[in-house]
Amino acid sequence: MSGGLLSDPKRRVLVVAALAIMTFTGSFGWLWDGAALGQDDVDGQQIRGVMEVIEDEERRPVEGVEMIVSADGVEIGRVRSDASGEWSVQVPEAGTYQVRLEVDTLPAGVQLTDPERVELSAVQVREGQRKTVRFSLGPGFTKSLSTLESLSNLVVLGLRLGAIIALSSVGLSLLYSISGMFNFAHGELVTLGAMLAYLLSTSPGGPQWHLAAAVFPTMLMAGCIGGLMEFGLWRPLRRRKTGVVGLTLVSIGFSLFLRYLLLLIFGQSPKPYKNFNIQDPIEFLTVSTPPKNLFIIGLAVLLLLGGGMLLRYTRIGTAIRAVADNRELAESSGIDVHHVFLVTWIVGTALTALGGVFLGIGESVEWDMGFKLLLLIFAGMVLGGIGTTFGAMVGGFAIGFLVEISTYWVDVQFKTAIGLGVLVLMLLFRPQGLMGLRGRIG
Amino acid sequence: MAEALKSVPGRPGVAKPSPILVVEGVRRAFGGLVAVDVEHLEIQRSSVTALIGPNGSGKTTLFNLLCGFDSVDEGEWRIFPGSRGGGVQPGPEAEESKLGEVRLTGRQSYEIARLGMVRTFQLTKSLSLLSVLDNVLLAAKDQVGERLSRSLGRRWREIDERNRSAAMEILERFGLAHMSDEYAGALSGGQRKLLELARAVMARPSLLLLDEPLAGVNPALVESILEHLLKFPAEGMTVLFVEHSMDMVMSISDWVVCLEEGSVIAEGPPEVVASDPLVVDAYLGREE
Amino acid sequence: MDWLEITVDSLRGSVSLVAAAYALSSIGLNLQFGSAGLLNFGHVASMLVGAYGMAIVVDLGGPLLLGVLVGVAAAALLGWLWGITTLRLRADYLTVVTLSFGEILRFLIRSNWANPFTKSVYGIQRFADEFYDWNPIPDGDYGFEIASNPIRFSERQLWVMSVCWGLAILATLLFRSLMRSPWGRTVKAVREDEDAARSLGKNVYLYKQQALIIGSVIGALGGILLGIETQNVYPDFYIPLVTINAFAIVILGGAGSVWGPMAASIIYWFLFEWLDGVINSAMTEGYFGLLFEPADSGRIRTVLLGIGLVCLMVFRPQGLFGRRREVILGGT
Repeated sequence: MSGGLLSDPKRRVLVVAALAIMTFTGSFGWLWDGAALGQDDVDGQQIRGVMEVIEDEERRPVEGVEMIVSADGVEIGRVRSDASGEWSVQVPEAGTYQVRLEVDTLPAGVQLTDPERVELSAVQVREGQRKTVRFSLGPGFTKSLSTLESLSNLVVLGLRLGAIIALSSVGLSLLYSISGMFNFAHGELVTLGAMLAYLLSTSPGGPQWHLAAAVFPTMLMAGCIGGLMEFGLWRPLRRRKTGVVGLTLVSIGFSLFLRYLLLLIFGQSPKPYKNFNIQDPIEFLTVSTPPKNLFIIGLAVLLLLGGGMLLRYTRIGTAIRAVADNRELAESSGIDVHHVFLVTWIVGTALTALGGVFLGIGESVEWDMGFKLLLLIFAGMVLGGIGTTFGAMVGGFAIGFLVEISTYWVDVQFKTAIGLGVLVLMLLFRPQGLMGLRGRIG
Repeated sequence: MAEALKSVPGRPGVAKPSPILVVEGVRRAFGGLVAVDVEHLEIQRSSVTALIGPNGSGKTTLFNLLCGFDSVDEGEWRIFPGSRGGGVQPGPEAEESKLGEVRLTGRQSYEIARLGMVRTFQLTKSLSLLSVLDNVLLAAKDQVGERLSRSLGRRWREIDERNRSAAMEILERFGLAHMSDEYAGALSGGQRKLLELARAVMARPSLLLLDEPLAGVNPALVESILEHLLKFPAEGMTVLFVEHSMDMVMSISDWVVCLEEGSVIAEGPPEVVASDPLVVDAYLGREE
Repeated sequence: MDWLEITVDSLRGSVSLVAAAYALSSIGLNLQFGSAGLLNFGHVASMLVGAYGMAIVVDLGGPLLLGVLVGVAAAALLGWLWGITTLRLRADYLTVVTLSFGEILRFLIRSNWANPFTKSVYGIQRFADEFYDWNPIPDGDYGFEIASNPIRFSERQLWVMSVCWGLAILATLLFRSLMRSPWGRTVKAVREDEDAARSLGKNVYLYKQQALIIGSVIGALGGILLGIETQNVYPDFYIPLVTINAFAIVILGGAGSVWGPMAASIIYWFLFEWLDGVINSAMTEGYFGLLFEPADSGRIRTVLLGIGLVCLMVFRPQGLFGRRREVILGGT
């Protein structure tokens, strides 16, 4: 590395930026399905719809309703409606399709208003059309929805979102505590993780592994990308003594660059993974949920606990905490600060990418999924107490839980607004957060 | 008035004939660690008082507390600005100060500064992207143009004109006049210390708190800073300063206060404190 | 590819209302960010409340001037709200809160709940007819041609452009007088070092609060004129990207510089239109092959904006006109 090419930090930024762009556009685009490159099916035609119950002018989305699309009796695809009730199935060509709703997957208390209309047998789709079909749902007459049941299902969804936020916030929070910078490009790392896993598991141009097998390679690749960013962008900037304000602005620009690059590569429409997409719900007590949600929650909790232990009991964990506490002091007592940054970036990005995969499993993979999540991650950090990693985890869980539960009373469209509202209220009344110390808000 | 100290016995918490600052039961703990615990302390008007103590004995924390840059757990302190300090702004504070006493407990740092107690910092805080002259002009207290409502008027220009000559005089004294149009960021470390002093003097405080005014200053400048310090009392500014080096303290201060683990363990005339066994212990005990 | 046509079109874009409105709006951001050092990532919210304040009042039957006043008052209120939620806390909270405020507002006006006032996603149209009734410019087509490529504006466009550029000049002059006054000196001191300013008796909180409010009001004027020109406000225009555009302009012109935002807005929108023209004609001429589809041209431009902002911060943080040693963004 002593070559003249990389010795000048300014030049190194250029070289690595160029490399990064080439890797992204080149290798990504190459491996990607031809479809994503603007051709036929992915941005082509689809059948879509929204599962919702309209009651007293209030719209309540229905999640997890299974839809099966087939052509002449051959199944083309099946999906479940996501948290906002939306579902969509890509269809290969223009023509006539049948769309059937799996009545068994309707949650308790929701019914077709016309039980005869369980299958639409002649859905015409034109070239490139996004055909919307409608199943009319209403509150059930036989099984009435108990408050306890719907709330307990929301609890599971809330824990899932909380787990995803907590997992994704670790990297951001650690980085904030050691560098004082909010990395606004962090949301894009969530998206990146989800998309890498899509590339490895689902994309026709990729290796088509099972998603479970793709998770670890995804984390590994994301970690490498994180390390590369630290090495090629942030470290040279730190060496030039760029202030926190400058770094934050760089991160905003970088976030824009990454987000729209991913949009160019992936396309605008959300896509589900091929695995874990449809699962029979398991039932216990009052909860009825697909097992993937429980896996996500369980795995995330285990990883967060593991991460906490590492931070607490290992050498590098201690070093990270020391740098967070007082960088100059840590530096003068022999800790290699650059090394600490590198490790934080790698581990943080890997965990964030995993959060992205989980989010993709829970909902679907979309170009701005991370940016949308970023605001909730911030809310979680503030709630837990900015600068405390443990606080960020707890705050993340709390905010995910809160916003999902709130959908029981409040319209889903306010979900993010509620998370941000919590953030603002917290700043007004307890700015140090749930776990923070007053001294830190200075 | 520094002469009046001659008759004061040197023991912690002793009363002074004409105190400008009275501190009572000020305590601040960080977690379990008590950083400052001053039972009673008075600073004599128009004196040069040194605050000494080993590293981590709470000197800077005490400054932060007194000036409102940190909040106390308990305790209170008052200032007696008197007639000589020109720093009192019109307003309710002035009403209070006519009675000769202003309670500072719980006030914001900027209010405390306006009430005539101005501090400097251990790590110099020069405003790099303001010119040297602007740095000093900023400290002037009567500039109505600092209010948004009057910033577009004409009145401030006259005031600035008048302040400019005062500021240049002060810069002249501190040997910075030739650099008045430079950015403060272009000054050397020692010159920044001088600029910070000049700025503080421009604010016409009745009590000046200097946090290690000599740290990092090259020896040639030390002499000149010390000379300035000695002249301040005659101009109506009482000086309380933090310093490590005992030699420096001995040569210029009228009174010395020694902190150890946040408490005053000794105070008195320099030569008395220097030979106090507790002080010697505090210093030696910490050395390696 | 017709380079001349693209260039002339871009020249037209660089003096258009959009450039003028962004120049005006960026002056507000420059006061907050360049002068006072406040990293406001929700500047778009000022433009939003300004434009919506006006549109809602007119839509409910009020006169346009009242609408403008309401918009401006709402923007001042917004600046004040930003202040009370964050200014007593550490500076970096401001970025998160302002970004969040912008998104909360956008979600709110988008929601069904606000429909009676904001018409949700459809937005409000045709609220500025009154403004065009005041137009003193006779009907016609004004402009000239460069090698048979026209730069022309209708009397309507010319009217709203003149008002907006005029306001931008006024705002710049206001900015200059403010920053040359002792008030400006104190604001700069607050930016440089809050503790030093406090130790000299300056109420740091008050100055930041004032900068936020004035900046928000100027930003709102930009939003109002943008709304008047299109006669259309809708929630999904006011995304965080608008703030980033304004930041790019402020930094390009040199944070804290007096004429920077105006000059940079002209340059920025020239580049914007030029890139747009080049990408689009490259697309129609098939240079990208199957790689991109027509909808991608805006996305490619945004990717380039992101790279540009990073490069600007890395290689020329002082902007086009600033001097290196005066850079506000550098250093620690």
